[in-house]
Amino acid sequence: MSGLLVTTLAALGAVLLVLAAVMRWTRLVPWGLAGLGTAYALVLPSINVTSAAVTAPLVAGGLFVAAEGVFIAAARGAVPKPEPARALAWLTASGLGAIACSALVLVLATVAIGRSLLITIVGTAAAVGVVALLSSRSQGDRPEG
Amino acid sequence: MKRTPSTKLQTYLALTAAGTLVGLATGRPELVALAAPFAAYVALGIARGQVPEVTVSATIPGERVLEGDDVPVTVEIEARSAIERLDLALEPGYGLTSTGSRPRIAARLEPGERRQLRPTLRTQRWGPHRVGVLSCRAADRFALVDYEFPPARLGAVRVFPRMETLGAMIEPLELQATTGNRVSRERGDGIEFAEVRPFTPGDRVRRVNWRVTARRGAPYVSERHPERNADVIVFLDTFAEVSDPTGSTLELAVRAASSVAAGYLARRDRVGVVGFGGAVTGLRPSFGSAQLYQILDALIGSEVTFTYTHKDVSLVPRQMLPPKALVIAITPLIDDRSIGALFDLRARGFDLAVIEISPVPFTKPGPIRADALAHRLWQLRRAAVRTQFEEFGVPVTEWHGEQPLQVPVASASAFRRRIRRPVAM
Repeated sequence: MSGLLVTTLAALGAVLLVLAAVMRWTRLVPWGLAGLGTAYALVLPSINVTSAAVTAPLVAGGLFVAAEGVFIAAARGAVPKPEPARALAWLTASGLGAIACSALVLVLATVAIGRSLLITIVGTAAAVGVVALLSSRSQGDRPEG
Repeated sequence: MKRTPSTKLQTYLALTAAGTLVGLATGRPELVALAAPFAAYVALGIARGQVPEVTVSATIPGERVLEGDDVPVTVEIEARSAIERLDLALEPGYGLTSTGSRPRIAARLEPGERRQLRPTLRTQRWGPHRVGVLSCRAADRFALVDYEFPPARLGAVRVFPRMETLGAMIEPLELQATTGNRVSRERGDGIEFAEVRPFTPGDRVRRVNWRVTARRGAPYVSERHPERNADVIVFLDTFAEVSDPTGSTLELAVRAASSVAAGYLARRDRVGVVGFGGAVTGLRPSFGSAQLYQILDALIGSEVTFTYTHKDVSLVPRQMLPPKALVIAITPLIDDRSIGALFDLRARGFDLAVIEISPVPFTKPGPIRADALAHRLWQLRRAAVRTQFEEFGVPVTEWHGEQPLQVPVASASAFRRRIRRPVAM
């Protein structure tokens, strides 16, 4: 039952991504990625920790490359057309970057840092910093065009 | 400048939030790791993304064009920052249409790059029109935010109606005292020979016809026809119009009026215009190409202004309706006030000819039998009005816009030749 559900979700996600790329309906991209991600999340409890640590960055890289690929494909009807060589280079670089980023998160998650007030303060300060950065960027200078 | 998050940003933020929350809730860092690349991309895009800085200006070469002509628009783009994608959409104004199938233009620009684009619009209808609106959207290289610049309104063009060259015009019955190209029936100084008559005291010696004098043994002088011009008033009925998606009676009327005015001005006649409708407008008769442009400028401003007010020709200033003028009325013969005004003009002794812009092609009878009957009755009533005009010696010729304007003009001339002189009322 679980296997069928996982297969169905993954297939549905893949179909939605293909449809988004072919029909240029970028609104379908989050649903396609969500389907694939959910399928992976359902599979995750059944695989051991070592396999999960290896597969997660690869799956993350695959999902990111799929998303970028769909957005590039959706822009193919535009003028100027995306250059294939440039798009391929970007997809390769972004895939490798995504794998590295995902692996880094997993490595950081496994580091034993203990529990203390200092960690809580650092975490809160980081969250506030991110919100402040986002706020300052969104209210930045707005030149008139 | 308006900023809107792109679909990409919304997608990546949603995936980041979902992966992080589910990962935290289930205690699986692998799910957070799945979302990490999307979060990193968004963070990188926000930190490194530049607001696109671009200057877009659009110009048109001239402000006077003819119906059906192309209006080339020059769009100058100057990028001050890298722009991954710049979308320009030129929305044509009323009376203009895009010549290409893709009115959108897109470009990728490097910092400092200048580019010039030349989209072309085509004029469809006469009138003073705004050329259009140029809207501009840009995306930075991460394509996370769409930047929409305030739309730029392009200038205006004055689209003149396309004029037909008329070979023969309706000849005026009366001519004015000023010199022109028409041979008057009167006797006087001119080129065209009229007759010889015996010399009378006061005749100038240079008018003596020496050959006839020698043959008859008594002095004779030559009489000649002087060259005179005419005053022509183009009377445009703007009380009502009938239209469908293909056009309207007013559109045809203005085309006919401009062709008629140009035709008479080319013959060195004085031409004026009276717009008779909800608003009474006019232009005094005058000569030349400057007058033609003034007439065209006046005509393209013509519009139907609805009013219940009773109006008659007494509202038209006297200078715009000079005595002995030939009045060419261009009317759909719909509104009783304009029909009454034309009868009034004829009763006041004006030489009148009517070019009827038929509203019949723009109308269709309704689906039921009574509608068809009403449509036929309406057409019979129109025929009765035409007959009434013709009984008073006024030619009424119909023009649908399909055949050349020369056809109704020639038909009116033939009618006037047939009756020799209009019947006095």
